Amino acid sequence: MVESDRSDQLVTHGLSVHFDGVKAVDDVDLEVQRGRITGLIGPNGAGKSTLFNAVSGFVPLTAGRVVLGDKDITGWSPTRISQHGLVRSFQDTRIFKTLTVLENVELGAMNQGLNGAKGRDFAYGILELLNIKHLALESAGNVALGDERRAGIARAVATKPDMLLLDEPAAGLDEDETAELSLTIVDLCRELGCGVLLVEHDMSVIFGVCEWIHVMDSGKTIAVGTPQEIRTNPAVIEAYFGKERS
Amino acid sequence: MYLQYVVDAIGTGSLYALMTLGLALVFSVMGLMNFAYGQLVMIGGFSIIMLRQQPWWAIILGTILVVVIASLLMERLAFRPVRAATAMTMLITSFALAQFLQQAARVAFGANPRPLEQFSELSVQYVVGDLFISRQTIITVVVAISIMLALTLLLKKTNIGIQLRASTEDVDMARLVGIKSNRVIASAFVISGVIAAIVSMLFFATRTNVSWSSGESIVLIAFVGAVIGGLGSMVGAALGGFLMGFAYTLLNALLPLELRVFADAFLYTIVIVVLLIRPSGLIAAKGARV
Repeated sequence: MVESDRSDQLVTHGLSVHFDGVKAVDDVDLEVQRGRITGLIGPNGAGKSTLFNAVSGFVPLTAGRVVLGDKDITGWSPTRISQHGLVRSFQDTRIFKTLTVLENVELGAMNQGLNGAKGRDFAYGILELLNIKHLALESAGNVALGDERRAGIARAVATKPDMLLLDEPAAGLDEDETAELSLTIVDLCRELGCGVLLVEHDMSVIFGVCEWIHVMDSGKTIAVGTPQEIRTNPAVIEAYFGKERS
Repeated sequence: MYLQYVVDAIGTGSLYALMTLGLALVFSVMGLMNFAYGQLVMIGGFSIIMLRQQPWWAIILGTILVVVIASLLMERLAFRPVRAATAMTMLITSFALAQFLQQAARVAFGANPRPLEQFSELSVQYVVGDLFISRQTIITVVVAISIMLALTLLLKKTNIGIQLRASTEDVDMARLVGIKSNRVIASAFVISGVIAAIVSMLFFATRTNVSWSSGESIVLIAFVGAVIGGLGSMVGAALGGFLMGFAYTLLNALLPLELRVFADAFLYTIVIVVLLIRPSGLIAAKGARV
């Protein structure tokens, strides 16, 4: 993909997803810029996962639009969306466990037309970036959860996405692994120049790496801003941090 | 004497192992148990009859070509349109296709079996101690092992092999990382077509005729082999197919003459017992169920 073909932003306009009358996501305008890490947070049931799934094509929209660069991708299949540069990771990683870690990443490289030795070198480069090069030849089903998550992200990254959606990458990781992963996410965004939308419960990750944060509660956007603005936003404190304290 | 039966059973087991592998490959990639696979073997048989006067290499290449084209046409015309449908729809489609191909062969080649001139070179027997080993048995075992090794190398070392293995494990995720499912599934049909062609050459090398119903019994045994081996597992499929062929030959050889007519009943009783003990098959693939 040449640089000029890359999508600079991912935007939703009035995105709504209703399930049997329940407004899981209601009229949300989200903006993710390329080269920036955007956090998506909110208490349980806020609608983050539904929004995430709707943007990546896994849940149909009730109303609204999703625009990637200059393309309206509303209603597109997850496959078509990923082919156009919006790639997501999964909480349960969905790594191919019968393949080696390297083969998992090579699959992403193949998608870029990088085959054979070129694809392998490219995949090794990505694994190095994610600090799991030493696990390249291990069966992906045999590595620890933290490494499995990294392998899942590596596979997504190998497709050279314009927008990378990370679904709770730190879930189940210990403090050290989480800190290391946070640094990796920042490195990835810088190295690849892609936009990152990060859904995460761990506030240390969110406030540690995100330059922009979108906060939801009960399906609606309640605040958007820099980490500093979000920390001091009364609505966020009430809806999110307030609830946590209670 | 018993050892002689075992040698013969190994030959038949190897043949069924190959057949089952072809079935299991397509099943793994698209969840389709293709009952029309036996008709690919039948098409291979008629190809051999048509090419019988040609040099041996032309018979081999010609048969592979014809069966691979038939396999690809099956995928493109019959199975691709129902790929998103339920497993039951695909299964019924495969039954319908099997019937269609059988009746088409009946119209094209007649209801009576067509005689097949024997390949006398294959009936040469080697004597090893007290054992008689036919060239046919040796070729079958060597070809089966070679094909399995080649398939293993292809799956491990090539791009299409890695894509096939990924699609086998999680076809939706495979699409998400950019694997073109049409291409991968077509590749699976090409490989299984090559295997079907080779099975047909090995199978009909010892037969005196080919008929429109020739593929029927062999696909049933291979299907049961895939089930007891473990659906979705290549190794399990090869093992299951081998055991079915092995057991089938031994039962036919060792049962008392008056019981031999019930060999199939004994075979499937063993299958039921195996499935009662291991419902997911001998080597179950992740998430596979019978």
